[in-house]
Amino acid sequence: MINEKDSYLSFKLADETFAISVKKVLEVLQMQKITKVPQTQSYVRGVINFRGEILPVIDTRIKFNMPAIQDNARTIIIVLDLNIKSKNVKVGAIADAVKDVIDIKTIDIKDVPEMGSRYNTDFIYGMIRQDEEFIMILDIDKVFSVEEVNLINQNNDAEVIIDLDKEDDF
Amino acid sequence: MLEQFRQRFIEEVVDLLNKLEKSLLTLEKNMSNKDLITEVFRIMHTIKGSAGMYDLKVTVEITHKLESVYASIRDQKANLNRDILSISFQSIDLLRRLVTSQNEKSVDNKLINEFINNLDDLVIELEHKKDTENKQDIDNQIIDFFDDIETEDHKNISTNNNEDGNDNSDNLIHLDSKCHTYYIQFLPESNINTRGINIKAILDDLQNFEYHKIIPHSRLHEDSKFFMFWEIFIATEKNKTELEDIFLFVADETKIEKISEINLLKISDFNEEIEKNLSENQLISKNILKNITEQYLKYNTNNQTDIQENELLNRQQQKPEPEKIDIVNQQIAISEQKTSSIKVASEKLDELMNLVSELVTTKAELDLYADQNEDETLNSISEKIEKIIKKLRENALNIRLIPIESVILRFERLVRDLSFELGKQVDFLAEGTETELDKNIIDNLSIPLMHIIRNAIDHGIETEERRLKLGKTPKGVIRLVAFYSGSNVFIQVRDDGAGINPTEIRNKAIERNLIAADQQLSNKEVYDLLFLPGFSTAKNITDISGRGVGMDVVKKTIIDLRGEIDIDSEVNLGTSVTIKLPLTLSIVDTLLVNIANSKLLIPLSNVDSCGQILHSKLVNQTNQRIAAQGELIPYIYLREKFGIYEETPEYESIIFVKYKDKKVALIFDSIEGEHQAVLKSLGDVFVKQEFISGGSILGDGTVALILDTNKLIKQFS
Repeated sequence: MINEKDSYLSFKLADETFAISVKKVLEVLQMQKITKVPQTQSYVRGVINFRGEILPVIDTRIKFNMPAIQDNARTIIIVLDLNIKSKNVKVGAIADAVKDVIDIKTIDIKDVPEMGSRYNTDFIYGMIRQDEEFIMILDIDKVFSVEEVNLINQNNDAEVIIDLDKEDDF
Repeated sequence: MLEQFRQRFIEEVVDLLNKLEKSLLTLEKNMSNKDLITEVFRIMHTIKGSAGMYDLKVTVEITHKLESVYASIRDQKANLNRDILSISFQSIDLLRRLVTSQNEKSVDNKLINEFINNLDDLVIELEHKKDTENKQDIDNQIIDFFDDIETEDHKNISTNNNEDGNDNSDNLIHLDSKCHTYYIQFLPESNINTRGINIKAILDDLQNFEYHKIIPHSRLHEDSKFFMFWEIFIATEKNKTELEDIFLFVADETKIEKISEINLLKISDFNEEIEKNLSENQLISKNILKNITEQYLKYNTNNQTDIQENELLNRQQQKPEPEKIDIVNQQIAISEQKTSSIKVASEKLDELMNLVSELVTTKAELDLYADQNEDETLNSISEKIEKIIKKLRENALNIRLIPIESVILRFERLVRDLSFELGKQVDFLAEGTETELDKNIIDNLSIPLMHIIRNAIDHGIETEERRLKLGKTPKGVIRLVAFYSGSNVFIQVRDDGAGINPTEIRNKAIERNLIAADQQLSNKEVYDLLFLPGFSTAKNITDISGRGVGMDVVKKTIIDLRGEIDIDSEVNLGTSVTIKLPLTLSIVDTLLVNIANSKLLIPLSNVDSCGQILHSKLVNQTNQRIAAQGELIPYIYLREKFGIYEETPEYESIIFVKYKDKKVALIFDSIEGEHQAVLKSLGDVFVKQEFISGGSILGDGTVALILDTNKLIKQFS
């Protein structure tokens, strides 16, 4: 029990490293042409074809209230199989770069301190320390089941530049 | 119970119940139809049999009781009436619940008990009637096995005695000629009980015959023989094999013989002769039996001519009646023919459709590749495949199409129950029930249609007195009409009731702040208000409708099916609700168009015409209208709608789309060509979408959005 291990996929978002359980990950895709859908929330980039089905793609930075950046060669789409309100929902989440698949022992996962934390602990399952770096393990079902995600407490006021905002005007 | 068998069993019984319901509905219109009564009895019996196999005790009990009710009706011991029909309908509902629920126990026990009590009352009432008619009182409800047979026996003899007085009446002789008399010896072996054979059940079956005489004998101890044996006389219209069926498991111990072509049991002299010659524990001697029967054979031939004459007379008198029965019979026969097709699990059909859809998508990929490589051979192969796919697609779609008829039955029942409840007289007529629609659409259609029909009965059709006062027929009519038009199916529900008063709706809408008091609305727009959530004009909120959740839910369902719904009404003439639906949900023929780098699909069925236009012509338009085809047509600039502000080409393409009587022009960069779009939902993330009805995957693997032109026009015009 103590040595129980789970695999996690770690990825970069801004200057942070996050991890999600591989059980939730269906595939990691390279950035591709995304079909824009009008009249959607600012964090929805559009849709892509995933194994013959239409998959919504979410700009995770905007969803997490982080500053948006231009896509580059390292940008990836993580295809997630979520369970939201007891329904299975597939969603593509854009991340800056994929890092690694790491095995984490359950016992090594630490709680995030409520007080003085940089992160909104509602969405963090726990954290681990690896190679002088903290990795936040996301409670991914929860992250995508709410509309507004303010993942980082301090950055609430930061101005977010959203290209897609224009679409909401009509 | 094994799940797979259980599933099949449920389907089978549900089918039977549907059939039963249909027969009962027809029976209600023609209560004296003997064939239908027999049919009802037969179905009940089949259900009882199947349920027995799965040990569904409650189901067996209910069907058994109903069966006996219909048996006495069939045997003319009781008359069919509305009470019996009502309880039969109720029992269908209950049986449906019992059979489809995982476990009989999960259905409310109290409900079942109450129902069974009602049923028992009915059975007892019928029994009582039967008994008083027979001038015989059997008050013992619980009669021991042997007594049972004895009493039954007496009863029969006394019946015969009663009718003895009418012996010479024409009617009686006429009846006699149809029945044949059989003599049966039933001599069970001693091990009969250990073989799992229920003697009581066999004897019970025999007692279902109207004319029977069962004579039990006991025999002195004998090792190989059962301690009892029976002599049985049966007079029936049925043939020998049917009798043999009863003794199927004891065939070796039974002897069945036809002793006369007429019903000897109706002749009291015969009964007396038999009684006289009975002995305690011996079979009647062959010679005596022969003598007795021959004696009555003469009696028969003497009357032969009379019988024939009478039959002729009877036929003439009854002439209109048999014809009616024939029509009903034909209907039943036809419906039986229709159902004689293969049953396929609906998942298999969905899977087939998915595969066809994938094939269409892959084909688009092949097309693209062939085009890019300018390979002649590949192109021609691709064309051939296209033809096959088209046929395959049509075929697969066709398989999924089922006639609307399958939901109509429920409505007949609904109209019947509701009109009773509300004390209104309503006829329900369905036309074009052979019209076929995609299974998914049909499945989703019954609830909205149910709502509409309910509304029609509750709010539309007036009470009988009011109808008469207005000079209408006392019976209201609700008509459901289904028909094809282009690639759509229309379903119309019309009533000839009170209609909807537009002023009333207007006032209500103003009262609820849905519209401004001075707002000008056409009648059509007023009727559209009925689809707003929480709108109900019913003065009293009844159990049936008027809870204000009806029409907006109806509209939502129809829109989800990519359909449209309209209300039209005329005060005192009636209301009609029209639903327009696409034939199928999954594949749409579309035009593929470009805007900057995005691709869009426009359903071909909505496209009126297309052309080109100079961009500069649009720039100067201030009222968003262009002159085309001799009129000023409003246009929608799609680049704007999609928030694309890249450089615009000099010439732009224009498509005129129609919605109802409105025409709107859509302007975008260019038309690429036709595309068979496999419609896919965008998913829950995009619920708020207002003019995109879904997406489709193109040959290059990217997604193109499908424009819902109707909504677009509504939204912007």
